[in-house]
Amino acid sequence: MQPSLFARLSPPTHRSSVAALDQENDIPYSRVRSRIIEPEEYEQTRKKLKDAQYELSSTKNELEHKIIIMEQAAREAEMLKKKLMSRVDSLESDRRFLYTQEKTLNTKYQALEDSSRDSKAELNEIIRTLREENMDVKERFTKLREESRATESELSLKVRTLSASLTHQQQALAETKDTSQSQSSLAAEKHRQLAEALDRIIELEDQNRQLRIHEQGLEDVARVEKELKNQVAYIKQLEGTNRQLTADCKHYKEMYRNVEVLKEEKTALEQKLKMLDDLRVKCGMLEVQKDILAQEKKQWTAFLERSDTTDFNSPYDLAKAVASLRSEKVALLEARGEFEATLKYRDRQIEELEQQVDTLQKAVLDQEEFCKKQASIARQHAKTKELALRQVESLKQQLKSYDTEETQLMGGSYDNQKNFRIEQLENLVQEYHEKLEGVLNSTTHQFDDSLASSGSLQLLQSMQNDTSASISELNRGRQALFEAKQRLEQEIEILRRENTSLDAKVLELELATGTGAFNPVTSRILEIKDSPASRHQAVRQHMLDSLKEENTALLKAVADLQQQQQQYGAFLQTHDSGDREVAIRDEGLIPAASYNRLKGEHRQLLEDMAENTKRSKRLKESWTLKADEFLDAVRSLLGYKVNFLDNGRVELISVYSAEEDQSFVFTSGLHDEGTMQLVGTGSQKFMEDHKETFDHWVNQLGSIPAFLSRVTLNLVEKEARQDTEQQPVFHRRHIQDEDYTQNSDMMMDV
Amino acid sequence: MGLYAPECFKMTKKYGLNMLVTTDPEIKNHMREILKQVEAWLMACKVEKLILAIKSKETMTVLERWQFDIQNTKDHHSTSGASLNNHSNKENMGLPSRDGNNLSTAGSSTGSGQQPKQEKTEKEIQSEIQAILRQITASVTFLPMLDEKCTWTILCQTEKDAEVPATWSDADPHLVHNAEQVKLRSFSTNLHKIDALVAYRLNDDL
Repeated sequence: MQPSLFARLSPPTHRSSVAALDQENDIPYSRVRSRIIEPEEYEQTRKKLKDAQYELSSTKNELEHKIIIMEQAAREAEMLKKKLMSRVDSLESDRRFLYTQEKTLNTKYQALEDSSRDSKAELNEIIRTLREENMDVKERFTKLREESRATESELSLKVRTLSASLTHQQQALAETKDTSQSQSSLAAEKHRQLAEALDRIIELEDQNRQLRIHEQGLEDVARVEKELKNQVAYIKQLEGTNRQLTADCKHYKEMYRNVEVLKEEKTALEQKLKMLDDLRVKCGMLEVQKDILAQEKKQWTAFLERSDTTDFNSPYDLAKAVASLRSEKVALLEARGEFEATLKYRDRQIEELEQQVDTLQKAVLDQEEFCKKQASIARQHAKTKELALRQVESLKQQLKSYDTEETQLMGGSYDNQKNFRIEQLENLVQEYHEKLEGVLNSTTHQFDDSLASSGSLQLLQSMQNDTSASISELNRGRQALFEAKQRLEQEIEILRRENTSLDAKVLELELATGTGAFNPVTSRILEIKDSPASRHQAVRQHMLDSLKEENTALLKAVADLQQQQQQYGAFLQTHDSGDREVAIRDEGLIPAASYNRLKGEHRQLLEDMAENTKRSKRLKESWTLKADEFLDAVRSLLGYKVNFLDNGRVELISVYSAEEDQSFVFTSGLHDEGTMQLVGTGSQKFMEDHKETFDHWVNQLGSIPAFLSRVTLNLVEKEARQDTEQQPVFHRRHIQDEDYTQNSDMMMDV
Repeated sequence: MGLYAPECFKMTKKYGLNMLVTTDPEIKNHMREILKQVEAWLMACKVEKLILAIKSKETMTVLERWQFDIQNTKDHHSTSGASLNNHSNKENMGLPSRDGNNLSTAGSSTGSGQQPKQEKTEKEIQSEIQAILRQITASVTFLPMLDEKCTWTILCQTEKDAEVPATWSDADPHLVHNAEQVKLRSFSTNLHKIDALVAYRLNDDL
């Protein structure tokens, strides 16, 4: 029974080994009894056990809590991982989309490049053809120039010859003119001679007739006949000369006509010459243009770098096409650059995210490993706890059995014996502990002999070490965290203090700024000299100055008067004139300063009066405006224009009255209490028209407003009838035009 | 009592609000002259503050001081570094910076300065001006009654090197003693930011 008791007393794990050792060592029961554990030791052991149990439970709780946290962290990490994976997927899809877009853009860009290449080739073709055309044009231009030069030289030669012939002809013409003039003068002389000869012939014939009549001598007749013959011959000669001269004259006339033709030819040639000059100028311009074109062509050739083939109609089209292609290319490059930048940015983001994912995966793995470790530790702890519980149970059982044994075997000194027994047991436990340590030490050197026992011990030790290490680590961490917390709290406190001081400073500065503080080093406060405040200040200053001046003047006058009084007093004392009155002069009693001040005050009062007048004028104006507004409102709402007459009466004219004299005049009742009485109308006929209405509404019912309303309705109906008769189409419009705002209700009645 | 009688004003619609505008030609001319010079200073970026001071005619004490801080935001944005230096200098002198009356405002302004500035539309500016005018109109609810004859003046706080015409002169800053102050709304254009503040003298018996 005793060995079983020892076996039960020993701890579950190493108690069995202890029991084994006891069995090996054959410790007798008496010895054990001598070593019965003391009750205090037992209590301590129980306490230790409880502590160990508590520590175990707390460690277990902590571990469970940690496991839960870890599991939560793992779940969060898993969720994060999922999110990141989904993000990665989305980014991947974005990347794919961007990649496809980039591909399509690349293809587009390639196609555009191809098209630009084709267009460039086409442009080159066009340029080449243009160059050829340019060469042809140039050749034609040179030909034309040569031709024009030849023509020009030929024409100039012609012009020269013509001018020479012209001068020659002009000279000949001049000579001919001279000769013709001399011939004409000669012909005129001959004519005159002929006329004289004819006169003479006539005279001779008369003479001959007379001679025949008178029958004079034959000699005279023969002589006369001879002379007549001579004269006839001379006349014939003259006639021949005359014919010759007429022929010459005809010839010269023809020549003169030729000269005119030559003159015309000369003018035509001059015109041609002018045209040639113009042509030469044009040639020069064309040459310049050609040079410019050649330069442009060179530039284009240099720009296109290849020789030149295009088929555009004009350089402008070519330039336009090139510019559009350039702009398109630039836009595409920009788009490409943007896409590349976006792609790079996305790639970078993806890389970063991948890195983040990797790190998170690593962290998750680490956490998982840590969790596993923690779980294994927890399991170990659970096992240890189970063992401890078993041990406690066995100890309880032992204690119970011991109690029963004690009660059965020992009747009286139960407690003392029990305590003594507990002490013994505790001593025994201590002894066993020491033995266990010794055995542990020995087992470290004897691994081969006691492998099983040393393994269990090592496991226990390692468990203990792990637990203690984790607890110490946790304690260290806790301590560090506590210190960090304290440090941070101190920093927060310092920062809070700084913040409050800064807030106070800011508040102070804000208050100072709000009340008008400023830095005179960097800023200055300026005010317009002629402000209302400065004006008022100047007036006050002036008043103060004048008052000061007046005061000094009055003080001076008082001093003078006092002096005069003293003089008079002295005079009276010396001259002893008791009843004599002292006469003080009025002159100089009121100083000029007082007068000036009063003048200033007067001026000020005048200004105030002007201000008041202005103010009352403004009040009147505003009152008039308001009154007009009121009357307009009354007119438009009630349909009556109200005139306040000078005699206190009120005249009402309906806005629907056809004539101005169709009005009602009212006067105030007794004591001006505001009650009105109808005293007359503008027109007698108007009153007669509305007499019935007046009797009914005013005399019978005593309501002037109802009477006025009835009159308004009557007038409106009357006007509407007239309008309907006259202009049925424009009836409504007419009324609206007349007064749109005032009679909408009345129109309903109509 | 107060400054001018009600009949000296007429209701005019400005900034979408019905406002009382003076009809006195003298005041109009005076304001025109002041604003012409202020415009010149504004164009030269020399104005720091515009102040309207209302004073008692009898005692010449300042009763109300309406202060409008003008901040040249264009210049600030273009030369943010310079303004920061300026700001730090002013801090050293123990004065509020031009960027704002407190550090938080300055911090926010510098922080927002890094972002690209969005141009404000005229409508937005008008609505901001409307808001501040509404606030000014509503300020009669908290400002003390002006139960004595008063006069007014406009002060302009400029930089030291501002050109001053002969019609203007250096003046007293018109400090308000025993003051309570209320900060009003701000408004800003694409070139300037205006912070408004009213400081008023508390009654002695309060």
